[in-house]
Amino acid sequence: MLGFRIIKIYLVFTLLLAFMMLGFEIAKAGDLSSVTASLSVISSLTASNHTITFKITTAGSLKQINLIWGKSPSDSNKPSGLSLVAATLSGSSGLDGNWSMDDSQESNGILKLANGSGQAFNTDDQISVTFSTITNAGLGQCTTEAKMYDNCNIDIVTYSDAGSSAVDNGSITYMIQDDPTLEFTISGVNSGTATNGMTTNISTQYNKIDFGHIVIDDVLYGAQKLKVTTNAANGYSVRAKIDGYLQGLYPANKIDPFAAYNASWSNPVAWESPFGTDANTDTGWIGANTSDTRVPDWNSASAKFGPMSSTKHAVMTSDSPDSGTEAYLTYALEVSVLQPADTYSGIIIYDIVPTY
Amino acid sequence: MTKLFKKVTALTIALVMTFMFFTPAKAAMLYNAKVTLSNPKASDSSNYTFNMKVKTAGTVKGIKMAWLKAPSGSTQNPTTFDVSGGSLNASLTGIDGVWTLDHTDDGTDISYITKGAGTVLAGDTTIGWQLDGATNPSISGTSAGCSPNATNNSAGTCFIKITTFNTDTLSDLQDETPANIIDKTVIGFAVVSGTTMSATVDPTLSFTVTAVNSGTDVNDAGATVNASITSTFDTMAFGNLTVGSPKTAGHSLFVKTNANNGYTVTIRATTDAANANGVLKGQYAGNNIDGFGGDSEWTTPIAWASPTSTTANVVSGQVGVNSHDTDTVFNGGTAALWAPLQNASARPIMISAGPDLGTSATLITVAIEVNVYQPADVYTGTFQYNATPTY
Repeated sequence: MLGFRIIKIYLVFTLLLAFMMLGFEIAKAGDLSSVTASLSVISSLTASNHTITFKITTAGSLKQINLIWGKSPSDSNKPSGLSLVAATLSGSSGLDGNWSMDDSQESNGILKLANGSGQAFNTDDQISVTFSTITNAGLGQCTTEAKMYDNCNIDIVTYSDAGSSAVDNGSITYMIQDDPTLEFTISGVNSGTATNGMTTNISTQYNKIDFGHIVIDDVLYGAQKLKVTTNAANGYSVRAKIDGYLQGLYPANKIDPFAAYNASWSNPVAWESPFGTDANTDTGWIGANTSDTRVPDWNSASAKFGPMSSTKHAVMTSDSPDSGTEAYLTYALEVSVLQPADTYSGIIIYDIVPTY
Repeated sequence: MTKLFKKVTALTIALVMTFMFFTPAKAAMLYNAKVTLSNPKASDSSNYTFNMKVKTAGTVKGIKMAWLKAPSGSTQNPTTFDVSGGSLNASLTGIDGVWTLDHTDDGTDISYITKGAGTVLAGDTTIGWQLDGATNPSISGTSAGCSPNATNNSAGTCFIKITTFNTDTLSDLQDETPANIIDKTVIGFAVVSGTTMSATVDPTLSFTVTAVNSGTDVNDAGATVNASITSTFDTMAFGNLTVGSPKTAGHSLFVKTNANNGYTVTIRATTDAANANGVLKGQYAGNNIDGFGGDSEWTTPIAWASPTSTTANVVSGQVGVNSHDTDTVFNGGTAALWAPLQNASARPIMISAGPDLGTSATLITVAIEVNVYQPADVYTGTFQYNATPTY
């Protein structure tokens, strides 16, 4: 009876232990343990030192260790931007002095450590190797797209011979990550510059567009050049607006947004003269044209204009990083004889919203 | 033995449960992250609207925002940024309930929003919140503001480091205790200088007098009175007058102006005639032809009538004026009536309360008639129009 009870106890314990092993994967023969990878620089497409550390599981002599830089645990293909061509073994621990690096397969993302004499290892012996001057992969080349980071992978295989008889293997995922960047530049444009179907007839500065003394019934064109450089993974939008109106010194005097028939920012049209019959109501117009064909409804808008108003309108857009696209924003201004004499002014505000 | 069995079983189950269900959390990156400024003008007041997706599932109890000059390598904040007067907008996305904005570290441009009970978030959930009433940084290469671009001071770039926590304890948020961090990211934003746009519309005035041909209907009151002669812009040569037969001539006047308060065109004789009412003078001194009627006719014009005077050179001949501009005294029932051409006074014959495109003419008619007492002579005179805009 006592023996039966003891058997019951051991049976339950064993079953529970087995259950535990299913839920919590313990090291078994063939799997390296405590595998880590750390990078001195985690930025994409940048030279970095990669330090890989792991513990031996299967005791025995090892003659070769392969390290494979891949995209994921299930995809050992080398990420296109990652480069091992300049890699050197700059440090190690746990290896004797007979190990050397073989980079004959660096183009496949593989570095080999070879020891012709072999080195004996015990279970839980720790090996750490540092490779210098590895160029990290680019973002989106491993497992993660449209993010400011990516997760890449290194597989490790140990051999008891020169690469045929695998002993243990391991895999570690590491992250590369870029700091956000953003540079937005507004520049003036000289008179006489061709911009998307127009030729400017005034010169501007980054902070000033002065149309000067307007000739009635003549259209004036002045432009600014916009430039965006950013690594925002999901791109950006630049919008422009007038803060209020182009307002005269007398508050009632104003120049309206371009309002030709059917004109809107989503439907730019050719320039027309203001046709209002009452002063300050469509007797003067300010419109704008963007040369950025990525902006919706502006992919074929040469010499066309939309209203320039206190509503923000997209003037540059991208759905991915930008290495420095430039676009012209051209303003057109015309008044009829019914526009009251006055000095008009307003503030153009640009905003840029990158999405990382 | 049974007690021992129970203890062993319980201990084993406990160990199994521990290893099966305990997975140490690893901080990941917030993504699709952006901040939108309601007013991106440097040094102006603005709201900051944050929007992003969480990567790691968990209960978020605190969110930390740190405004920085650089995305990494430095904790320098743009010192001209000020969120001390800011408040948390009630509109939240993905994070429910009442969150509180903590101003403890405003001096180093660090803000926290916390909620004791937190919000349980699944991975890839979109969250958003808005801070109202912050003051934007300036554009500056110093620690004061956002670093300008490489070309000019049109825009400056700063960064915000955002971290989500599983605690609302301020000290843990301040220390960024690793075990409390759920996700994090750093995003960039720009402030701009603004562009001043200006234009000057000068006052404009264009006044044109054009001829009217003989035979043109110069009276718009129904009864046709055709011009007797063809004028030029600077002459009305009536030729030989027949006693008792009036003659008429016309001018078309155009005014193009942006005078917001309109304009007035007046007519006035400038002849140095023998008497005060004379508007045409003869070659012989003392001979003159007077204006038709007197001052009262410029209040209430009258119908044309032949001169009745029997005294030579005293209203034995007369010159009258009519205008088609109904904004003058010639409107309604007086549209076809007449008032005297005068030396003494400039009389309005064209009026506008506002600007004029200059595309519509105003017809001015001048009529002349003499009776038998008007001495034979060759009579000449001058009159002028005067256009006066009010801007």
